Amino acid sequence: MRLLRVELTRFASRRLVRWGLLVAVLGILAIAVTSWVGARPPSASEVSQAQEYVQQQKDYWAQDGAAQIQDCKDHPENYWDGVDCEHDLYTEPKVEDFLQAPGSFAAEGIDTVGMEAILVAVLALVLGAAFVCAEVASGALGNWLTFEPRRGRVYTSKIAAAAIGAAAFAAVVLLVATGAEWTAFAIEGRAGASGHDWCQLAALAGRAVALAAGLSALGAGLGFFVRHTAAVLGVVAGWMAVVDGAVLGALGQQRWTLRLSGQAWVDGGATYYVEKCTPADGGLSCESVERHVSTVHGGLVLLVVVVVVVGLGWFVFRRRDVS
Amino acid sequence: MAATAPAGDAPAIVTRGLRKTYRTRRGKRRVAVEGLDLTVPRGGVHGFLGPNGSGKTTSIRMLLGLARADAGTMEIFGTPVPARLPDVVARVGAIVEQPKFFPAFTGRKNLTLLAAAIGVPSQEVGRVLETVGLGERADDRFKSYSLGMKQRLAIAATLLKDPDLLIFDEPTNGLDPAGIREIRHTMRGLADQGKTVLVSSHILAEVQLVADTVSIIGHGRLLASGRVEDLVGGAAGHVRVGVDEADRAAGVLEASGWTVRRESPHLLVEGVDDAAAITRALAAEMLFVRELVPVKADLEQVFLELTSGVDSAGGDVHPEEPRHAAPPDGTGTAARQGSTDDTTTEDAR
Repeated sequence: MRLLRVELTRFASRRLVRWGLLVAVLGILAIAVTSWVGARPPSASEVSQAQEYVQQQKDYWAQDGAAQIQDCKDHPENYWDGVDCEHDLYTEPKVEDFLQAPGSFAAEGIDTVGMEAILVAVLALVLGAAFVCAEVASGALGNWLTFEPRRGRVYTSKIAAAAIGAAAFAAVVLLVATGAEWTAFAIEGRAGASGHDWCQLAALAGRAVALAAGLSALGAGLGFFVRHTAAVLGVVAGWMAVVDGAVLGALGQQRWTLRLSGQAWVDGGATYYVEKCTPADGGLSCESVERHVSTVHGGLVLLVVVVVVVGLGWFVFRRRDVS
Repeated sequence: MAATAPAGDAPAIVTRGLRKTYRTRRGKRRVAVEGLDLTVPRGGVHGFLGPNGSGKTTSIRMLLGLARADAGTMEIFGTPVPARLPDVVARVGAIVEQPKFFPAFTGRKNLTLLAAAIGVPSQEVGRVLETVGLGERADDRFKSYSLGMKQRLAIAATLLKDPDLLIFDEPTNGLDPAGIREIRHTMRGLADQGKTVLVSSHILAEVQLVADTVSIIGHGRLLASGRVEDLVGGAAGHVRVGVDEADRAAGVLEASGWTVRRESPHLLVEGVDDAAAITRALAAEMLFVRELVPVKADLEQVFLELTSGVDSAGGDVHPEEPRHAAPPDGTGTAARQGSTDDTTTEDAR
């Protein structure tokens, strides 16, 4: 516990963590501003513009409506099955059709927090990697081991500190994000949310904090292995591009990708599509089949990956000479 | 092999048959330490000398558990390491290579983290900082420190544990003369308190000033070990001769059986027991000495004699003729020669 406390102190003292917090908060505030803009009722100019569009639609129908109806009667094969040429080709336009509906916290706000949670988790990966790689690169790890030579304790304390520190970081950021989004919609009186909405948001945030902790631990474990933050990011980017993006996709195994698993874990499930093709009439008939990835599946895939990487980092650190 | 002495009487450091090899990028094995038998007695300052790439730092890193030995045994105060290094690490303070701390943290914060990690009260941080003279700069970032200040912070860190054994690897590298003297006084002061100080250094003159005993290694093997005065005293004396007609005089002296080196405008006569014999030999040929200065053997001379043939640039080793010596006992006067073989070794620090 003593080592863990020291490592947590070091994590919290790192400038990257403080700068990361500042950048995250500024980004959240910027997003909240766009949410506020989206929550506002339409302005006079927007209403005027929409009325113009309505009039244009009416004018078009007045001019070409009869010809359109005649064409429908003469060539029904060019229209959809069961079309009523007299009544289905034109609907009286309304101003609301040309205005963006103001957003609400319950709909857009919570989705925005979900999107920000993914970004925070990626930032946590960087924090975890840099936490370890900075110490390795500066040589301070070797100095540390002359004081505490039990590599198991040292490794465990650093991985745990990375995870706990990142979890705290993510919790603070998501709290700020939720507050900022709610405030943005509350200004326009659109912050109402049901108890169910709040429970869903709390669950989403909890899963995002867990994801941040896991990715930070993964970054730290990978850091012991490759010893440079840039190398860690390179490995992750390479994996996402090659394995996640190309190989597993080509094999139709998207459900095992980290991207989809992360999305499923945070959002409470994710959907993907696979092409199923069958022979038909001398050719192929393909259709997109919807598949679903559950929260549990996403969480388990991520957990296994984190455990494997952290275990690999331990195996290497245990045996490797430290300069 | 001798039985391990009781922990209370055990030397500070004992290694037997220590071996370490590295694999190069081309898959070849490079020997860094080859069968090193080192004994560092308790108390005093023990110099650990050797050419670049002879395995000094590698040996120290293996002792501290930073590198894994391929073979051999090691003990610190009679405790086998690295298996039981945690049992004895509280008694060991070390600076290996350049001082390494977190650059963005202050000196004080660096030491505070270390103190917290090993359960030392935080008040000790202020005390050790004052001891090494860093009190006023303690709250500046480590990366803003000069090399001398970094060394002092590293020494302060080692003192946090109040260790019985201090290991300094090249502690004066890059320091100015004032800094070197300060380090020397620090080491001597620690030894005078009853601690054991192992110092690895290239600056032989400094080591000779401060060390009580030394071990000299080459090719990763022990070449000599013992008290400084015994090692230096065993080396034959030289005499610098100033004489007109230096070439004729050199011929006369060489004909008399001495080895003569020409160091214009002087002659350096080696292996001289009686300087008067030189003047007699020259006077017999009507050559008269205008200068006759005994050159006292020093550690550098011993070092160079023992390590000649080691190519510090990492080239082939040229085997020397074996010199008979008694095995080192860590306390006596014996000089031991390290045998060479046909194995080609390269620098593997």
